[in-house]
Amino acid sequence: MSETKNPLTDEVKALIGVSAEKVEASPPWGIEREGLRIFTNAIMDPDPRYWDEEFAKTTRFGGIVTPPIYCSYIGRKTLAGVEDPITRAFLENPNSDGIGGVREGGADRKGALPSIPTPLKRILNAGNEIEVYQYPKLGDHIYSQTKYHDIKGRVTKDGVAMLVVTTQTTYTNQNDEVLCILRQSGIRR
Amino acid sequence: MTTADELRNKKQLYFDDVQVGQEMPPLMIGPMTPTHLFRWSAAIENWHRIHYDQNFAVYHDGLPNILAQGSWKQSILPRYLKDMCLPDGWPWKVQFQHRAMIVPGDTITVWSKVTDKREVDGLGLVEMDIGMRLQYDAESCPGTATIVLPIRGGRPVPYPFVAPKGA
Amino acid sequence: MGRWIAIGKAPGWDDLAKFTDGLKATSKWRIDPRTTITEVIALADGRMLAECHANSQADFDAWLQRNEWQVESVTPIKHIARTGEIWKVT
Repeated sequence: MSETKNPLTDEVKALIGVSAEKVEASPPWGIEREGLRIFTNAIMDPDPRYWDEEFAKTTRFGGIVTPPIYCSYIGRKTLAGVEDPITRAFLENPNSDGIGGVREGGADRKGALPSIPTPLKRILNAGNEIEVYQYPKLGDHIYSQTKYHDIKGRVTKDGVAMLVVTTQTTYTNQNDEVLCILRQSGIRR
Repeated sequence: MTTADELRNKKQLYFDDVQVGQEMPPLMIGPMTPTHLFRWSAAIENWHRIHYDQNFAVYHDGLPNILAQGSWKQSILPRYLKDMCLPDGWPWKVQFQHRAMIVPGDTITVWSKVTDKREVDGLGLVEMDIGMRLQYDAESCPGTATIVLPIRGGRPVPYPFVAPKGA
Repeated sequence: MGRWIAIGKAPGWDDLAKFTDGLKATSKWRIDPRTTITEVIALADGRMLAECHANSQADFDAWLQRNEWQVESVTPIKHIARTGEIWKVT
């Protein structure tokens, strides 16, 4: 019986540290009030730092800011004027899960990492890490850049091969100041 | 749920005031409903059907019901830490894993417990275990966090935040 | 994972209050991470139908027994139509 090989091949290992291009995640008009209102209601956070301009000016932020990792969500939104991605996705696949094929049309449609050359296709979320340094303000433009932070390979004692892939996305503003860093680890088996 | 005025008038929590082993005040959320899940999906334009289409969640994905989004949970933990640190502390880091699924009907207790505290470069670093516990005692989001609190009589926590040397 | 329909009777569950008490809370229908009672229907003639999604029928049988069902049958589901959507159950 042949032994299961460690899936961390040289080809896969070569991706560690590889970065995608830096892209603008925010829409052309930057961070704005209405998107912020909808978001803060959805996380049920009534903090007046997100909507009360007079109060927000008295805080050390100097004005209205967003929740800690708000900037990580705005790139997913469908830009105005594109072909409707939902209609297209379901025409192509009536059994679409609602995300496959629908992602395109968002602000972050560029900036994707190269695929990992592995036959291991099943992905399980293995954890998230967040570091916060600054909150975006109204009018800010947000940029994101993703890289393969680390990739580990192993074979379990039952002979199951797996890769643990950690991607890191750094969000910066128009002044290149770091807003937050998000890392996500996934197990591929 | 916390009110806008409570957050407006929140008194500073100082490093001096927390003790190792201390359980911090929780944040209660819920009960969750399909409408909460739908609102989040719409807010961030996440159209994954497992969050609002019950038949798809149950019969296609084999899930028990529609699920609360991992992306939503990912914002709740920093929000909880942010509230704790207001007005002038800083919710620096959190890491967590996804465990028990959250479905409509569930009530969530966001909790934390201090596991360590140390002064670094004039700032108070507080390490905590953190999580989101469901009403039947299942843990949905176990993790750890580091917040930075001012020390009485010490220097302010910088904003934008800069990690203290030696942290 | 499989899906089954049980037909039988559950004592007291023809009463809506007891039915609600027996099934509303998450822990009453999410038996464990892999076993879910996805639907229970109380028929006007006193019979019950229950649908379960689980690793094995034994998990469903255990729930039926705990809830004191008089089980007439437990049968795997082949396919299902719900409000115009068709699901093949493997």
